[in-house]
Amino acid sequence: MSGGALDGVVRDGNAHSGTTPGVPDRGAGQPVLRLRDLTVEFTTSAGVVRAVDGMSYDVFGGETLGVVGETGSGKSVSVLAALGLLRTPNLRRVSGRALLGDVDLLALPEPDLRRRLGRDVAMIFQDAISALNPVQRVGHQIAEALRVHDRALSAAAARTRVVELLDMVGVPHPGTRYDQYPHQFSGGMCQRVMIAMAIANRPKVLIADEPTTALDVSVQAQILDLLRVARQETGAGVVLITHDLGVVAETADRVSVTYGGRIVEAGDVTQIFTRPRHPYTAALLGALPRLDTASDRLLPIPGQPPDPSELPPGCAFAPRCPISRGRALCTELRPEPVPDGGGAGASACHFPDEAASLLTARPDGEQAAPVDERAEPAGTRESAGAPVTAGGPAAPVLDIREAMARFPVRSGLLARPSAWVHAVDGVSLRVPAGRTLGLVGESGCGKTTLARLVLRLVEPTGGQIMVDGDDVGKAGRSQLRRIRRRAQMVFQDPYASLNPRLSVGDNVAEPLRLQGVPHGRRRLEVADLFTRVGLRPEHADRLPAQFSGGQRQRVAIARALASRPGLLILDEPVSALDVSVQAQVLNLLADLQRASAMAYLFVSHDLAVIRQVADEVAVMYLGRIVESGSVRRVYDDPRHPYTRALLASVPVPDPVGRAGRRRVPLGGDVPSPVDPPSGCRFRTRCPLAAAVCAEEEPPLRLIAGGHTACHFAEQTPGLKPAERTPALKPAEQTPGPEPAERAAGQEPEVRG
Amino acid sequence: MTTAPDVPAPAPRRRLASLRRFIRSRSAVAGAVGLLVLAALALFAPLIAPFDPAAQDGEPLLGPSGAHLLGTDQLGRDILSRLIHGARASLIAAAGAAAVGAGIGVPLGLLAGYLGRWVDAVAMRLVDLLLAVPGILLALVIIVVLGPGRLNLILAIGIGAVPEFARLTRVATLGIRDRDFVLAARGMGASTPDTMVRTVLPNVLAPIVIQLVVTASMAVVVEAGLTFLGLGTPPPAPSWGGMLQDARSYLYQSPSYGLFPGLCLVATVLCLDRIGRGLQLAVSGGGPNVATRITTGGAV
Repeated sequence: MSGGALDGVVRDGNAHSGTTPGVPDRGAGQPVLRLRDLTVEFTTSAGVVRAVDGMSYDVFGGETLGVVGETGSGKSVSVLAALGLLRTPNLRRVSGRALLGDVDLLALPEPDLRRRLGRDVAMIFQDAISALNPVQRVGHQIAEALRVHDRALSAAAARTRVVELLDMVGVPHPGTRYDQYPHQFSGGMCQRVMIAMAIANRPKVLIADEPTTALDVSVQAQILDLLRVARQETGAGVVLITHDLGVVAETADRVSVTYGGRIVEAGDVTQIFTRPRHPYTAALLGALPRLDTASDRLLPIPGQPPDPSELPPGCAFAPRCPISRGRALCTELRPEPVPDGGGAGASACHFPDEAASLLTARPDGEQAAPVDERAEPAGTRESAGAPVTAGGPAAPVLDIREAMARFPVRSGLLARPSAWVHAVDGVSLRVPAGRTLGLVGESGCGKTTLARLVLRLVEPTGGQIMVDGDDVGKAGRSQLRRIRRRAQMVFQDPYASLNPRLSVGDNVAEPLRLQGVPHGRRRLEVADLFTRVGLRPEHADRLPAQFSGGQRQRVAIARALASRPGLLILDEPVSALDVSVQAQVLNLLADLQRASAMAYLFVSHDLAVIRQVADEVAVMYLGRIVESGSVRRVYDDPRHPYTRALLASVPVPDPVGRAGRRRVPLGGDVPSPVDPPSGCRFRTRCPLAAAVCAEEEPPLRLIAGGHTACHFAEQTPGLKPAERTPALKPAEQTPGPEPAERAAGQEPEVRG
Repeated sequence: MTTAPDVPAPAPRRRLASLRRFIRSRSAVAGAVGLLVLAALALFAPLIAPFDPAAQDGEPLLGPSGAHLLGTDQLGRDILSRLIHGARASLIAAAGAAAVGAGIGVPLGLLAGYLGRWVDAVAMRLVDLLLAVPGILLALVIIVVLGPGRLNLILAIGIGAVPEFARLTRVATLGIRDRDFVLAARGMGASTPDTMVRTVLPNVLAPIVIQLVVTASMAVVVEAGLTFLGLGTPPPAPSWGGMLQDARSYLYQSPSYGLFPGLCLVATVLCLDRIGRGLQLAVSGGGPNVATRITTGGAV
């Protein structure tokens, strides 16, 4: 049982430094929240699953503790269980202690617990839109949070306080917004409301469970800022649960890394990122695509995150560990967290001192592979000065000219289109063979619609899309089928894109069956495809449900390869995957491209991923390309203020010097594509906007070897990033029905 | 290829998980066994039945005795033999009606759900029209128009079951029509009929299978009811509904006469109902819907 061993460690820690391991010695006194040996078990068809196995951590007032880990590592479950919020009927047991001050939340009777939730401890959830009651006015919901804990508060006083709160979290026109409903708020605004609600009672502990995962980068930057201010305002201890190392590096003071239901490493944020003492932490850092430094090849962690129902007896990470190398100690004895000399951190590894070398050894150990890889792509990257839109040397595999897609917004009794969403509004792109065009943009900018246009999964309203010289828009039924063989698509969510009723082998064989390939040859080809994407052919007759996310994405890629396409359209192919697995898939895609000279149209919201994979980049905003060019040009010398803001918004997974980094969060949300702003579409959020921007739409112009659609593209490099405006306030925006329309616009209506 | 062979050792988990869950539900298994016994009785009726169901070779209206285990009817025919032969009428009606209902309803729902637009509008108004008339009344009308007879009976009950199948299929189709894997099928060049049959249909099958069982159970009752009214299985042939009708007149002389066909009906419906329930649990059990399994797991 882990309890005894862990207690021993705790005592050890006391002997060392007077506090528990992983907690810096703070004169500040008592931690506000202490989890001790928390264990959570579920009953499932596979038996008893221990999702959280003896987790302990402390949070002090006024600090942010980052709890970082991959899917299924128990990071969220531990907190939910500690607060008594886990209500699944198959919950078997929660043991350990969750001390809020001196009170053990787990031992508290229900009514007492309820009194403390929301007053002393408050939660901020990932999906703010569904966490708010859709039929209750936003203001009332916050007021309710106040009045539940203070019955004496009058309605008028509550309203005044709520308006104050809304103003504090940066909701413009708080007086008007008070009476609106959640559907009239955008995602970012909903998250602000959630935060207002959470800090309404000045809690001692603020728990943020993936607070920015559902948000775009520019909005994420706003919300992270806001969390920082909320912490300062209330003096609360913040537990920030996230999978995003960048977010942690930007905001946390201390970090706990979870893996397989346990905390494998805890420590100060700088120490974690610069001198990790657990190989998992080090490997995660190696697997992360970076925005600041382009790496030639990511170092993925082999295998998948462990299934909590079948954890190995020894170290949970041992099967994937680069330093374990099958050492008996690792596979047989589970390491307990041991504090390092200074008492500031703890690592649950038998060989904590070898982990850091993993991080430093990385560039050398890596040299071998990239050399030959670099040879070719390097050349293409150099020559990538040639702009995307002006055409490469070879005939492009994909040639998009002024493509347009509009969707009707239907309203009224007869469902007549009352307005049009301009999802894609005159976009031109070219992708030559063997190259990758990265298409980046925030949600709702039309990038997915554009990707679907290429296969005519969405009917174009104008323009021309040529695949290998064939016009997709004009193609007849059989010609379209031929085009769809040459251009294949990989979807974002591997859980949704495979037919769950067919075995993975049959899924991969579908394109072949459609081409009339006979059964016997299909099997052979499927086996071949499986090996190409790193799957075992003998698993071909299993169902998709038996595979993990990363494996399914490999199946989806194998299926896309089956018809030997010259063009792959990758629509956010790695955004549903964990970091360690994401690196595997990105490397696989790079290898496949090198082997077959396929052209990739790689759509993503993740700027770091695009930097990693693309030769050329196009930045999309509200249905238009605002900037395009080689990776180097767009990332190192961005001329469009939107690109600059996006790049500045991405959290950098490096806490060193984060205080000095000036992030310039973009204000506000993306305007509605139903009624885009006149002239330059970005002008409503642009720090450079002038009169001319409202009148004239800037064309894409050739500037510094790339194309930029900005009137002031020549001046931008000289500009210093604008000083951050009052951190909380997003740019003013009209409180009207815009977010609702935006919501309508995001789900394009295609059926009658 | 430099791709590091990934470690795809997916848990050797069961393709037959649903079957296992079904088997774990004791009452569902009991229902299935009961139905199998019934089906065997119906199939091998001439071999099993102690007497010819039409032979009038006993005293009329005898109570249960050694010679006639369940007694005889008003014409001196063996009730047990007639019950065994009567199972045929019931089961044929059940299977036939379910097949007719699904045969018309599922394609209708699939087309309506997948194609949408006017196809959907037309198909659903048609279904509404059928739904506007109560099931048994509809069957009555159809039989009056087509005339009595086994085939017409099946048709009549089956058509009454079309709306449920059509609606169920349509809703399920709508639910997965825009899923990525359907889009992917189109993206790799599958034609519309191919997508519908190969990709959509298998994914909406689960609720349809359950509905098949529910319809069968309904058909058993309706068949008996119609026969009772004299519109179902024509008189000389043994059927449970007909026996109930006959027994009604002799309720005082021989109360056990009507008891046995009634019990047979109840048992059959109960068996089918348990199977349906078991299937439902088996299908939902694997998904995220753990709650249903937990709340009902002990009871069924």
